[in-house]
Amino acid sequence: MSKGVGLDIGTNMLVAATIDEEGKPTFRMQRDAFYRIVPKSEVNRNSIKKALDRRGFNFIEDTDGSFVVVGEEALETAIERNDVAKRPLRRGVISPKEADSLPMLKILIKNLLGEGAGDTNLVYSVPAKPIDGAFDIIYHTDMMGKYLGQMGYKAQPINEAFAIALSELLDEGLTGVCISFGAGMVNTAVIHQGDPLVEFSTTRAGDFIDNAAGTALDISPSLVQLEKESGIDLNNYTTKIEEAVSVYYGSVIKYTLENIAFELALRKKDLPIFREPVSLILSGGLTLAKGFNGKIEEALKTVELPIKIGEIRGASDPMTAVANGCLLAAQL
Amino acid sequence: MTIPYKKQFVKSDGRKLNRSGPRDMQSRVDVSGGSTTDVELVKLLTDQISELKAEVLAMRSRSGDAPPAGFFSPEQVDEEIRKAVQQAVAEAAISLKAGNGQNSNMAELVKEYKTQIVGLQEGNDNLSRLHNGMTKESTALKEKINALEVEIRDATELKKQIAVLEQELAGKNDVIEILKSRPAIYDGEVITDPDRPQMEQVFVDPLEEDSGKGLKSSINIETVTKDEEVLGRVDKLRGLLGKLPKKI
Repeated sequence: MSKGVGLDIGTNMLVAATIDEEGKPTFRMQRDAFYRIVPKSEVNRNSIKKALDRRGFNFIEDTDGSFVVVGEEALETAIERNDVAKRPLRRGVISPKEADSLPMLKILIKNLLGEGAGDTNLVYSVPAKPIDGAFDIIYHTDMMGKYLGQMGYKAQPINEAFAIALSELLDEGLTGVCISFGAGMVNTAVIHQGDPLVEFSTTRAGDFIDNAAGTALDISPSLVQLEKESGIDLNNYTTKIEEAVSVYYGSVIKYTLENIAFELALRKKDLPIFREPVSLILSGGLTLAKGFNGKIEEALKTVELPIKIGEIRGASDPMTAVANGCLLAAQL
Repeated sequence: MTIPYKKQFVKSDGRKLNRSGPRDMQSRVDVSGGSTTDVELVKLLTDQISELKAEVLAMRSRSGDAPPAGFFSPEQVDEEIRKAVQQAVAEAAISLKAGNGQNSNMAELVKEYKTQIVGLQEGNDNLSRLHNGMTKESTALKEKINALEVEIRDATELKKQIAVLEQELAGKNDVIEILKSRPAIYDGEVITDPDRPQMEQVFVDPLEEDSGKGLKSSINIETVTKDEEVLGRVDKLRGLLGKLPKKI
């Protein structure tokens, strides 16, 4: 049996999926963020390194003597210094403007996957073309394929929302609608019997909520992100941050569903006539908020979709569904 | 029926009046309380004739066979009465016939009038229907005229706009030709001729080849294993998709 590897390259999280010796799926996650600390002197450098080791932080030592704190700790360090953590990806794709972030991204991926054997199948996720933004996903797809090839993998891209379908719609004959609410983008796909008929993305997602709430309350978006990810109930908030997050959650949900309805109406000719209502699968980090599915159900009542939606359900694991779909695809 | 004869009055010449004058006859008819039909009248007259005959016979027996001067013999009276009755019957028949003829003419006239009235009514109905139809057609025509007037107004407005646009476009033929030579845009996507040569997409890695080589990572990542059966799911997926399409 082939032992391909799946990789979800998200704006906020990198998730690698492999199959262990017992045939069980294994997942390794790394937050897709870093924060650079530049020591002022050699003494300062030593003390910083000791502090990072003592706290058990994941970090990278750069050749210029600076430290790059990565993952979850990058956010904490940025908040401590009233700053914002950097990300190699913005809105789901790498950008030539963020070229100095790319080595960090490569190291993060290498740490997750290890070196490939040269012919190891790897399926990695890419976002769909955005309908509300003009940036290049082809560049991102091509560059990521190149980097993964350098790591010893035979890499093939797959649409993020379609990967969710492979993971979650097997029992429904790969027919349904999948929406991935990520940090940088919301990806949508309509799949009919394994054929991804319509795929597109929108650019208001988790980062939009963090930035909007941060601006509204004049606090770091990184702090909003941590608060948001620590668990939030969209129907029962207790702090101002939670309230702001909840409000912007509503804006993102409304914006997303209205755009989906608009786009599907435009591409109606590409859609088949579904005889039965189809399932709607919700995945991605944003869906972890309590009350999210209910908000989607409410918002769906206000839009008119050319497809009849039946069951609305979350992915079995919203954080690993894309990687799991990539892993399954890598075995074909 | 026999009318009782009451000898109540004896005239100076010895004749007994038997109350057979017209007034006596009328009073007897009134006493009987019903209308006198011709048949009854004839019967009455016959009875009177019989009485008169009896009276004449009685007078003859008293005064010999010869009638007095200026009087008719009973036979003559009988004859005269018969003539008078026959004449009255004949006149009555003639009168009745004439009356029937008149009625017949009137009925024909009435029938003719009725026919004319029916004809006139039909004509009137036809006119009413025609009037209603014309009213409806008139309303429909009015509506059409109104719609046409609106269209004419719109067309006039469009003409004005076209004139303005034509003025603006005057002298811009070169620009139009350049725009025409560009690919058509459909549904937000550029449609290009598939045979037209395309620019190859080449991406240049912004990183140097040795970039990141000196980086030293201190990263520990936790591995999470899920208690799921992957192989069965892969088989199911293979059954649905076959091989993974080259470009997804």
